Amino acid sequence: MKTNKIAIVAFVLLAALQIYLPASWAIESAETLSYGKVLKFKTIPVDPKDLFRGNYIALNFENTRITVSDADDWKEGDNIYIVLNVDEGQFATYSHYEKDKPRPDINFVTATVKHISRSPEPYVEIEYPFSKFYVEESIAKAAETAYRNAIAEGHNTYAVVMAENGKTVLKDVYIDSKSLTDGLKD
Amino acid sequence: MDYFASKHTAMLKDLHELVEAGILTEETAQQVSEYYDKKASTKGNRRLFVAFGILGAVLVGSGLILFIEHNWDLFSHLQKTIFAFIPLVLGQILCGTLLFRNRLESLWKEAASVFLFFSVGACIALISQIYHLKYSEEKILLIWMLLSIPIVYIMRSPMSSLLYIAGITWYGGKYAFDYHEGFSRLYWLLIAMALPYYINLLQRKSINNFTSLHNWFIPISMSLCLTLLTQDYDEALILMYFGYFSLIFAIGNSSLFSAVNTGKNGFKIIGFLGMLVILFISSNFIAFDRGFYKSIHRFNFVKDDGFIFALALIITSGIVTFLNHRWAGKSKLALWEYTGFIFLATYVLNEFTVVAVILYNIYIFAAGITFIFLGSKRNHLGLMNLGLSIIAVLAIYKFFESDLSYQLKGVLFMLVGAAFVTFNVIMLKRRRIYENQ
Repeated sequence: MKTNKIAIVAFVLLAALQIYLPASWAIESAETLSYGKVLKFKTIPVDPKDLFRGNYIALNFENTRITVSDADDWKEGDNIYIVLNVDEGQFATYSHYEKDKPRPDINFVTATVKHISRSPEPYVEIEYPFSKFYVEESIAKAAETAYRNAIAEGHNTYAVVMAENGKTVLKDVYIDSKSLTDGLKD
Repeated sequence: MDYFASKHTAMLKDLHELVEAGILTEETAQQVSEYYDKKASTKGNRRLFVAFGILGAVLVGSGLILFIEHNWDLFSHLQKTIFAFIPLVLGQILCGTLLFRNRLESLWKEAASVFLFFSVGACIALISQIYHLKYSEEKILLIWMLLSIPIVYIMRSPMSSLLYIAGITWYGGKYAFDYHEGFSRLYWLLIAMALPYYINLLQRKSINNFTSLHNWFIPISMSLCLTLLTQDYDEALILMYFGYFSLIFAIGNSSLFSAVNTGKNGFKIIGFLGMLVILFISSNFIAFDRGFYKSIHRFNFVKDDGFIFALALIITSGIVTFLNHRWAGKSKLALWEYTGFIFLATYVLNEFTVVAVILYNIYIFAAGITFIFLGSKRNHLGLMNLGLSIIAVLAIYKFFESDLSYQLKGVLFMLVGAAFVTFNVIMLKRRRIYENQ
């Protein structure tokens, strides 16, 4: 039957696409996890209301408000390349931004423009792609409390991110030198 | 004769007559009776099987989604990733097998399609959790729906279509009800993608249960997401909704729905009730006095997108009504079919004078009376009670608006109640006389 043949072809294509899309996310992330370079980003407190949403912790970072020369150059959702200074402890801090992708040997990550403002001076609010840390439901509440207290008490809290040519994958969140999830499991 | 034990009494009576008249032998009559018994019971079983199949798939599917809430930290990234794809591949194998063997009539089709639908969502949600991807809920929903809509067409699965409509409504609702999410018109493209399948269902299986559910799902979904037409509706929102309700009412009256019972025609009922509710809201004198309407109507005709959309909706409803009549060969318009234009006219009038509010009241009253007359003429209890209800609600609404004493309000309530009883009794009596003749 002709219609059935068309349906079969369409189904095979659909099945391939259904697998391809999530698989490409997974493969890309796995590659970055294996071959990427470790970068540590210091986290800062967020509005407690926004901190915990279901099963992930929303992470906030320093220097996410970036002064730009012309606000009209940007629109929400645009990629913005953040060039970083990396110290010997692998802690990354903001150096400057680029509109075009930097060379692979430069330390940089790709962020997105979340909000644009024209006054008092033109600036963009950026969002790093590693701002959601999913935690297992059974320890989620405890993780949230531990993380919030640590920030409030002035502990050194940071995200460990694997980065390769601008792509990034969040690996873990640390309080001082201890993994947040491992610390809770112990 | 034991075939009298069967449920199909009307047909069996005929069979009995045919046997007595010597046209059929008793044996043939028995066979005919058994055939219909068997047919009825397989049909019942089939429906039950499909229902349980879908229920099972929904349960397994939602179990999967719940499972995601648990990020099992015991496993490595790779193990988790493999796990995320298992249900997806399983669903694809199930659907693929049915399709390859040309078994789309199979009872398993619906369950397999629903399972695949859920496992697509489970897979993308799991992957984004395993790798802490920052994709927002909207984006995940959107990708899920886009990867699932082909299932509806390829597997010809009405249940997947309903799930798809529910999913895109959730997606649209995120933008319609949460200002922080920004604005997106993508919802209209998504709902348009479901329409060819729905129209096909209406044409082929207009009285099927799945079709009836679509008759409700689609207008409800669009009612919830109507503000996704434009952000710039401010004062024209009420007019926009009126235009929308009059359009879906006109669609509900079209020949597509000619075989659908009124009770299963969501377009007609939601459209009708929507217009009625807006008319009631607009008929309020106190709100007018307090300047509510004056501020509502202070819109800029040219600048407001909302007004343009409202106008477009009302004109489209007029065109659909015109075509309905053309095709049905009717010359006379039913009362509710031009309400959109009346509302538009009074809406503009409302800018200048309280007379518009009086006109709304007169229009609602006239509509109520017309339904009572129509009901009485066609001997239709439902229509008559609809008319009575409209007048009763209007009366009660006006009592509350006025500062009549409680005693007087009480008396008026009793009068409304008495009118209901009297009209119904008269109608039933007339029916009895008619039947006795």
